[in-house]
Amino acid sequence: MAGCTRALVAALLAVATSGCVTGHLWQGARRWEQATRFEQASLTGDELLVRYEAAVSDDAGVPLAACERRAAVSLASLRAVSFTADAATVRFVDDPAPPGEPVPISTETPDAPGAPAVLRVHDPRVPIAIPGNVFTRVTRAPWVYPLLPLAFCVDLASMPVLLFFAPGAIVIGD
Amino acid sequence: MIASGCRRLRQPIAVALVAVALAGAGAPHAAAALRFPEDVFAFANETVWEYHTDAASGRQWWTRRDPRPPFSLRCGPMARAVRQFYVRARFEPAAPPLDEAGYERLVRAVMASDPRRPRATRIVIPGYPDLRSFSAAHGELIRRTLSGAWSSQLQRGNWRMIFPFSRGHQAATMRRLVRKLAAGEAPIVHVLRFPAITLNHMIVVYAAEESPAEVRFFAYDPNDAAQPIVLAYDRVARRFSYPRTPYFPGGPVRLYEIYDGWLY
Repeated sequence: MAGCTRALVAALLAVATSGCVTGHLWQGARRWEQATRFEQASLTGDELLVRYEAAVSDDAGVPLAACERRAAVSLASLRAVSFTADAATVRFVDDPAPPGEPVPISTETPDAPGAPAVLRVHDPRVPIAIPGNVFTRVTRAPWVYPLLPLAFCVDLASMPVLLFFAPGAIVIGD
Repeated sequence: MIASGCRRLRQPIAVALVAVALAGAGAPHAAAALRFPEDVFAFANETVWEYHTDAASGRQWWTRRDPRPPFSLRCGPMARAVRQFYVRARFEPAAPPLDEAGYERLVRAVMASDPRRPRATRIVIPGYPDLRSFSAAHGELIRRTLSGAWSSQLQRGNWRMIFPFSRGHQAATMRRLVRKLAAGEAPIVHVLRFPAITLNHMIVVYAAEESPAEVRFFAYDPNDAAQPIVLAYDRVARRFSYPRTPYFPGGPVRLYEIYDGWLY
């Protein structure tokens, strides 16, 4: 029973302290999908359906692939007084041909280097120019899941060593 | 340290943007804390490595500079010293100037102060209007007084870099930086890509500009005395991007604040 408790405490400690091997593995498996060019849009109800080209990159920003995606943006979420991209309600859809009334669009590239492309919809029902990063999606590479138990075991073994040395680094360091 | 440049944010622009921010929520705004270039050094830290980037693939490699630059690996001490001058010194251009020994005494007093805690009393540096002009005239004295590379390597907060950074952590860091800038502080951040070692750098953030898509932070880069760099925070991805510089090809980075509290 006591051994069981110790194992549980060790496991909780490893989780709570965000073990570096598990965490870096999990982080390294992140895949980022970012809209680069908007191809088509249509309006249906209170949603704007968009077809766009997305660039897939790893967590270090290295491009891996390009793909075509579709998403629906709630127009109501765009009407907020102080709209920011993270407040947009976006639903990713798989339908190949979005229904609704087609609307003319254009893709704008901002002057600031690295800033996301902007979707401009030439229709008065869409209240603002939509920042392209509302379509950003984070996924995980599937290879990470079978490796997680192993990484967790490594963390269980190494975490006490790190915890032992961390106070030393804080005391000695400036 | 391995480490960037963009555009110049003038004080009047920052003030105007603050006025815009006060006029309406959601509008772009910036809050001026430290001034660039007045409150930073006139000289730069030199990199030990010479950086090369393949334009087609974006792959980066580096070679050692020969001979090694005499003033290098000092991004940490420079960022720290800029903060110390900002919180602890006051420049009095009309006061009579001192001799070299007098200035050295004052600079050592500033460098000995705690960068984590501002004091009400300030050390008066006579004869110069700001740190920029003072460091242009007494660069050798300041370089001699700055601590060595060890103070970057043993920076108290370095323990944090080995742990992963969640997107929530980066979002909290963004909010914290915005709040501190609004309060007139000059946060120092450690920018990294650990476990990759392509970037491991310390910079001083001095202004922010918000748009619906991003928050763009303007920062003093000890490796570049001529122009600030712009760190972009993507509101949806919840991550920071570092611009392309002579020593970094540009791209996503992680950051956390240092010289802040007893753990960092």
